[in-house]
Amino acid sequence: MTPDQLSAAIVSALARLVDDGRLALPDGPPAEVRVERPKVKEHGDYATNIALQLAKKAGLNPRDLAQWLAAELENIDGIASAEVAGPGFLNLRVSADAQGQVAAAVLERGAHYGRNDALAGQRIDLEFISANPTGPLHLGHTRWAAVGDAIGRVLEAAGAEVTREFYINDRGVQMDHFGASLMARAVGAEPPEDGYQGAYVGEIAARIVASRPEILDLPDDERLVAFREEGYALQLAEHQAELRELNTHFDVWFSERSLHASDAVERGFARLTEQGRLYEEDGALWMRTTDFGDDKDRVLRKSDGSLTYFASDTAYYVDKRERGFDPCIYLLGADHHGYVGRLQAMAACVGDDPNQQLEVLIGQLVKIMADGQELKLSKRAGTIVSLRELIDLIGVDALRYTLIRFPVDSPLTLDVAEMTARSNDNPVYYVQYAHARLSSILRNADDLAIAHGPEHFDPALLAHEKEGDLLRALASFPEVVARAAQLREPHRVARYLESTAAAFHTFYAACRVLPQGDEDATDVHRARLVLVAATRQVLANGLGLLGVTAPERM
Amino acid sequence: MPTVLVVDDTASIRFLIRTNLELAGFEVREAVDGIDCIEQLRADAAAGSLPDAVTVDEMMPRQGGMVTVRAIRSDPALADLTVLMVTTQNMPMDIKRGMEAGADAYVTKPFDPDELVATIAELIETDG
Repeated sequence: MTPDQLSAAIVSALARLVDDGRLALPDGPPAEVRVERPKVKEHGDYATNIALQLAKKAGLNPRDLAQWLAAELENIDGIASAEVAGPGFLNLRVSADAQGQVAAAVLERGAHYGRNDALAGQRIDLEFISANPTGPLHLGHTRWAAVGDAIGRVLEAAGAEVTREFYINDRGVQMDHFGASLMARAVGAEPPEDGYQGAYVGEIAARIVASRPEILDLPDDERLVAFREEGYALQLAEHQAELRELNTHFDVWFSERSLHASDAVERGFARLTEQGRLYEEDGALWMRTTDFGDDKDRVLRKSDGSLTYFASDTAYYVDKRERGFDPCIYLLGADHHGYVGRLQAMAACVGDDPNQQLEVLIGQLVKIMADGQELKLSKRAGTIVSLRELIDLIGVDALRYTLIRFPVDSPLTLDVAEMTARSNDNPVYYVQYAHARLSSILRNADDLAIAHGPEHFDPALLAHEKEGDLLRALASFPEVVARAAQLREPHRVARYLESTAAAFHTFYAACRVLPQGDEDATDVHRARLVLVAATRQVLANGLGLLGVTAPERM
Repeated sequence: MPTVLVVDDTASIRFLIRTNLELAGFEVREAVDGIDCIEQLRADAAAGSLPDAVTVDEMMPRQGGMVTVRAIRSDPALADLTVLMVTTQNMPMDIKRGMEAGADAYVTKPFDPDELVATIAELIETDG
């Protein structure tokens, strides 16, 4: 019996109490009831505080309502006991048979187990990284590359339709600075003061000259444009290749230039005019963001006729909304904290509810240390480690997993040795090793020709306490995925995998899965092999949601 | 009577900790997440009625435990509070980070309620 099935049973029990007149709920029984795994064993297999939640609305004592519910639930097949605790908590125990069925249910759904419909019907735009094409990706981008991609995966697993976008700031003065820096390096000169200083600029310049030697003979203006465009193409291709290598996927690479080549900016302005949020002053065009809490109004078109970045950002948001996305999620770096209020005011100015259609997640800084030295992926100067070098040093799986397993709202310092350790102290190793060990057990079972298909499975035989713990862990996976998607917190999946791997190790230490020596395989062995196969499936599905491989051998 | 603020998004955990602390003679207040915790503590500081200790769950919606502990340590009015992280995570990487964030102790779930009470009592006594 899964938490979902328990939830449905409780909803039915509430409906019966309503039908027989004992319970009056103005809005009727809830569509679902939250069922949790208690943190102390004495509280049963599952617990709910639904009686506490509903008692006030129904004008009842919570303990009375909990008692009535307990009596109803104890009549249901699969529920062994229902007990009232404290002010009105309900602690439930599930029969071994009903609990064991979870293993079969996992295997039946296979790679789809964990997928749910918590966000079904939502079309979500997920924009992340959006690095300028004027230099390598830095560590902050790397955190979002891993976490953003994992958010996309959990949103999809929760039934949402997700489009992942990378916005390319390929317009504006920084592109010219980049072109000028490349042009200078190509002839061995220093880049201009406001240019880009990193060694990568010289490397790109050399690649451009090697592939297009005649570029140096172009007139000054044309040469600048040619270097800028060649450099842009190379740098963008580099971002795309590195992100592919990190297993991070984008559906749309959205160029700021394309926004201006279309009528998107005018459409954005038209929307603001409709809403009465535009005005002209001192020859400039302004958006009245102060109507929605911004500290000052924002210029969209300067008095010289040029458009601001904020005009592009507004047009881009309106374009996303016109493409049918709701909500539009922005994953931004810590340096964008001050930008959030402005974005929210802009969404309100175009007529949206900024708490519904727009969502901004801020990722704090991450540092990676190697031998006591900080590794830098700085764009402008200093010792640069490319994302590719970082992948070579740490590995895609360890890099992704470790970045994803911490909530993004706190700054992070990681150590290369810690991330690459082949020990149980390293979470990615711990989970992957559990998967490899499960795979090895199943291989051994096959070698011993022990059949462990569903036709040989008696769920009631999984009655050991540690089997129960592991089964309840497996049963909670869909809820963990739904919660991770709703809260945009894929680290919940990683933490879940770690606790499930721990539950597996404890089970394996307490319960013999394969026969010893000449012993014949029994139905208990076969049932445990089904549990092993189900656990392997859940770990593989969870690792898949993080974009991390599930190795068969380690 | 010493007072403890229990911060956890799960009602049954708050109840569990509350029950055990009350049996041991503590007064208990509750907060449902990190933001609620900081708001309550700031109001308590203004009223001169800060609790003697705070237990903070690591994984909560809106604002998790790690950020909450950092916020407590970086607010001069709250920085001296005794803080325990209560969490399901027991990887050395997590314990190290919890202590770096400024927790005085780190208790992993599923926990022994007696041990939790003893740890809080000991920390308050040490501080006091």
